[in-house]
Formats: sequence, C-alpha cells, structure tokens
Amino acid sequence: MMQDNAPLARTDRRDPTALYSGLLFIAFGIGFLVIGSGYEFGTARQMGPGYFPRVLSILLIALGAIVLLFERHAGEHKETPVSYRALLLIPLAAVVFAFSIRGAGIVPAVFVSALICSCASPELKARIVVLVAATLAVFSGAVFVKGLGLPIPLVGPWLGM
Amino acid sequence: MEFLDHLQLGIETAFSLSNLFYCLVGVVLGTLIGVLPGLGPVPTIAMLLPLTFGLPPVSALIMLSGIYYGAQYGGSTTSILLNLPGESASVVTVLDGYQMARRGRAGVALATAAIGSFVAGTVATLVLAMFAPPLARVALNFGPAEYFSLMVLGLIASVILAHGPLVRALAMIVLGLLLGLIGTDVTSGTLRYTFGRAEMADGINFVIVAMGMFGLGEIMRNLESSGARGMVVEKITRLMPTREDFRRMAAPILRGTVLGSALGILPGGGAMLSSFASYSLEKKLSKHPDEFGRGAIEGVAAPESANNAGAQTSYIPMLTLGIPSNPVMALMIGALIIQGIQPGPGMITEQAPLFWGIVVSMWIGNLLLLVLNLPMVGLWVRLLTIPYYMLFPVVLVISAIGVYSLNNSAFDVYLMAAFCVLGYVFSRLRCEPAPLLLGFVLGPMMEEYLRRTMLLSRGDPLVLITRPISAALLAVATLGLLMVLLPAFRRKREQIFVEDD
Repeated sequence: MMQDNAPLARTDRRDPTALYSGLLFIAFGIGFLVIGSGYEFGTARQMGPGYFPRVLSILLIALGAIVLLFERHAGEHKETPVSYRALLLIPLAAVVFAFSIRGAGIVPAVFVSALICSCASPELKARIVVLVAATLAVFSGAVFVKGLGLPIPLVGPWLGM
Repeated sequence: MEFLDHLQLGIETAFSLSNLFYCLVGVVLGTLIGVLPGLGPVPTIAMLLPLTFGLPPVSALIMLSGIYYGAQYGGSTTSILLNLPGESASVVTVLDGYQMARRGRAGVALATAAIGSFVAGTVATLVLAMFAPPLARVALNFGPAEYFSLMVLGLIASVILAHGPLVRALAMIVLGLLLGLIGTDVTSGTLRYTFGRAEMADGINFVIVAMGMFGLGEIMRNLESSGARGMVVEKITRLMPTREDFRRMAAPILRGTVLGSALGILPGGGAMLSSFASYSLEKKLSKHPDEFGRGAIEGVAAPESANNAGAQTSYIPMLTLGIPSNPVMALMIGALIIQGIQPGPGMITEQAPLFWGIVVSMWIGNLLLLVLNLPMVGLWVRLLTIPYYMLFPVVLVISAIGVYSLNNSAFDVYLMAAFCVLGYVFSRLRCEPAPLLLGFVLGPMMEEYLRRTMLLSRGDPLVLITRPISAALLAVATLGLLMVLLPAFRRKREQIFVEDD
C-alpha cells in the first residue's frame, strides 16, 4: 500500500496494478463519456439524462488518472498466480449454460456446464466430476423445474423432445 | 408504552408459524453454506434470493436475515476447526480459535463463539429496536439535498473503513454509480447505455452484478490457491466452557458487543470491521497479550460477539434511511425493492409489521442458532470434508439458474459471466468489488435526489452546503477523506486489517 515515509529504495518498486487499474478506470470513463455525449445535458436546474453520467464519467477519468500517476508504490500484499484455466472456464460454463438452456433443456445444460467448470480445478478426478455433474443435473431438474415450477424444459427441442 | 406495543406487534409477526419456519430455513441454509469454505454471506444471499421472490415481504426478509447471521455463524465454525475463515468477518477468529482447537479445546471455542454471538445478538436487537424509530423520525424531515449528502457520506465512509487502496475504491464507487444508471432514465424516458438491447431497458438487475462479482468471482479467487486446504479436522471433545473460561470471556463479550453495535451503525461499518477492531482492543487491554494468537479465549469471544452485533446494527441505516452500509445490506435493499417496498424513513410506520417482525426475528434467529448449532456441530464438521472441486460447480449452476430465472433471459446469464470476469480482473488489480456494488445500488437514487435538489434550488448547487444538516453530512464526509490522507491515520487503517499476516 501507499507509504509516504517509506525508505527511498522502496519508492522504486512500481505497483503494476496501479498502472492497469488506472488505465482501466480511464477507459471506462471515456467509454461512458463518449456514449453519454449523445444524451441531452440539460441545465443545472433541469438536469437532462446526460448530466449526471457526464459528471460521473469525468470524475472517473480524474480518479483513474490519480491512480495512474500517484499510486505507484508497491506495498506488501500477497500475490497468488492467476489461474487462467479458471478465468477461461468459469465464464465459459456460464455462457454455455445460457446458450443451451432453452434449446437443450435444463438437464443437459446443467450437466455440460458443470462438466466444463469442474475442469477449472487443478485436482480433477474424472469419475467424480461426471458423478457431480450428473447429480446436479438431476437435482436441478427435480428442484427447479418439478419443484419450483420454473418454465424451463427438462430436455429441450435440440434433443428432439 | 409505545416500545412494548411495537415489540408485541413484532412478536405477533415473527412468531407466526410460517415466519418461524422461514427463519429456521434461513439460519440452517445460512449455516450450511457459511460452513462451506469460500462461500460468504454475499454470494449465499445472492444465490438464494430468487427462492424468496414468491414469499410475502416479511417472510422473505426474515429468511434472508436468517441466512446472513447463519452464514456468519457457519464462518466461525470453519475458522475454529479448519483454520479457514468461511467469510471475511471471521478472519480474526482463526487466530485464536484454531489454536484453541489444536489444544483440544475446539468444543469450548465453538461454545464461546455461540454464547458470544447470542449475547451480542440480543443486545444488538434491543439497540436496533430503540434507535431505529427516533432516527427514522429525524430522517422524515430530510429533503432531497439531505438525502443526496447522506448518500455521499455513506459511500465515502464505506471506503474509509474498508481496506485496500483508497483512490481505487473511490473510482470503483463512481464506476458502480455509472453502471447503476444503465437503463431508462425515469424523468426523460431516454434509454441510456443499453446498446439497443431491449433486455437492458430496465437496467441491469443487481442480482446479476452481485452473483457475477461475488459468487463466481469468489470461485476464481479460491481456485488460485486450491490444494492449500488442510483437511485435518480437530476432534471435538467437550463443549462446556469451565468457570474460569466464563470468567475470562464475560468482559470481552460485553466490550465486543458495545464496539460492534457502535461500528455497525456507521455507514461502511458492519461485521468485518467490528471483528478486527474488537480483536485489537482486547489485545491492548489484556494483561497477557502474548497469549493472543496462541489460543486466548478472549480472542474468540470478543470478535465473534462484535461481528454479530455489527451485523445486526448495520440494519439500522438500511431500515431507517434506505442506505446500505455494506454489500449484504445492498442485497437486502434489492430484495425489498423487488418486493415493491422502498426502504426509507417511512417504512417503520407504513410497514410496521414488517419492520418489527424483522427485528424480533433476529433475536429468534440467534436463539435458533444457539440451540441448533452446538448439538449439530458434528454434522457441520462432516460438511467441511467436502472437497472444493465438488462444491464450486454447484455454486455456478445454482447462480446460473437463479439469474436465468429472474427474467427467463439468457442475456442475463451472459451479463453475469461478463461481471464475473470484470470482478476478477478488478480484484487482481487490488480494487475491491464491494464499493462498486454499493454505488450500483445507490446510483439511480442519487441522481434522482440531486435532480430534485437542483430543481428546488433553481440550479444553485450551494444549497447542499447552506442547508445545515446537508452541510454537516458533507463536512463529516470531507473530514473523513482528509483524515485518511494523513499518513498517521492511514497507517492505522492498514494496521487494523493486517492483523492476520
């Protein structure tokens, strides 16, 4: 974290997360500003739909710039390696679920997405993974569709039903 | 006696058979999920929220509250038995709780946590019942300017009292406010930031943001460090603390309760800060501070009481002002809005059975936890042995189904996936997702209050500092920000949160 009176040697350690997060905030700020410029600004007395978004966008850009320019000292914080497998597979599992729920029905959609996301774990045991996915698929069908009555087919038209 | 009338109303509501049932379901589900490592109250509540849509508002809130303190209680169980905090508020309990367990005093540590939580819960319920109505009466006189300033104060306080780099937390709030504006502008009907998608016209449901950033984001953070889980569960022998134990835990429980109740009321306070602060306090007051970290019973009693007290008094700003002081309260506000109730100072009188029912149910929930959990500790322990690779697919699937069922819309699930990636990227960049969620919930309200303020003042922004209450609120916010910029205070703020390193 930021430390003003840290020894001089420490100030050389730039915090890379400040750089990236600063840039990310600025990018978001510019995005909101550009899209928001199409909305009517109005006056201070009669704020239009573009007033508050524009003020906030500029504020976000300013805060991003402060992070980028001034928060550069790396403090002591734990760094675990990024799990790229999880970063890819967890969202993918959700996307596959969303894509297939209507066409394939809840049982196949849950089964496949549970299989995909299970692969994100480094301690993978094929048998157990299939067992968990199958149990979950049956459970979801029974509880959410049969029990709670969600309007989702158990097995959908893609599978000819 | 107005107070007794209210309490009676609450008792009638909370003791109805169905509400008792939902309270029980809530605390059991909450404990169940809180015990599972890596699942704190926020993803738990977000995940189970869709289950409450069909319930009447009182029952829904009672069940969600039950989940909240159940999850906290479950979190302390994993801390003590596994050296693994089930959620952030029990991080400090790990320090002495696990050490007690290693010395064969796991049962006593669990009992201490339960007794402390119960005492604290009882006191905090009374605090809530006594302080909420007068606060709401004051708030009834608030105009839009006061509300706007109050929200500014709430948001600023939430980052001052949190941990992590400050400016990034402020930026996260602003980003949250902006994301909250997505959808149809209520005054002009203009569609904002919807990219032409009809699904976005009503804005993004906050459940999607909460599930993506907290539920799924948490899975990704847990998978980073998997394999590190120790599976050695300590044997539980005796539950009953000795007389010496009772003597040593009494004062810390009371101090923890008082500190937790006070910190919980502050915007941005709540369970986590309370537990950290009370642990530091006990360590300072203790005659033998060297015992801390080596199984001091005070180190379990104080933070466990404080976090429970803080959790309950954090309902005060939510129920009286409609302002969430932490992400859990943001979820509660979301739940109320889905039920068609706008939380605010009018709620106590307009929705009296709801308000008092919730208050009384908190005490019932605490009693249920005390009665249920100690005998059932064996069952919870067995749950702890479920490996994580079997758990997170369950979380993912339930979250996906939950989000899909909000509007039967696949688009919502795609959005959840996007927020999951965004939340993970931000947390890698040391930007906490919690302030974003608070901003997200408050965004549309802040815009509306600012708009009304400016309309009433004919476009003069100075009204925010000429009206005394509004000015005072903004002054406190500014003062808070300035204090954090002072190096001495900044170090203190960091110290509170590094106790576990």
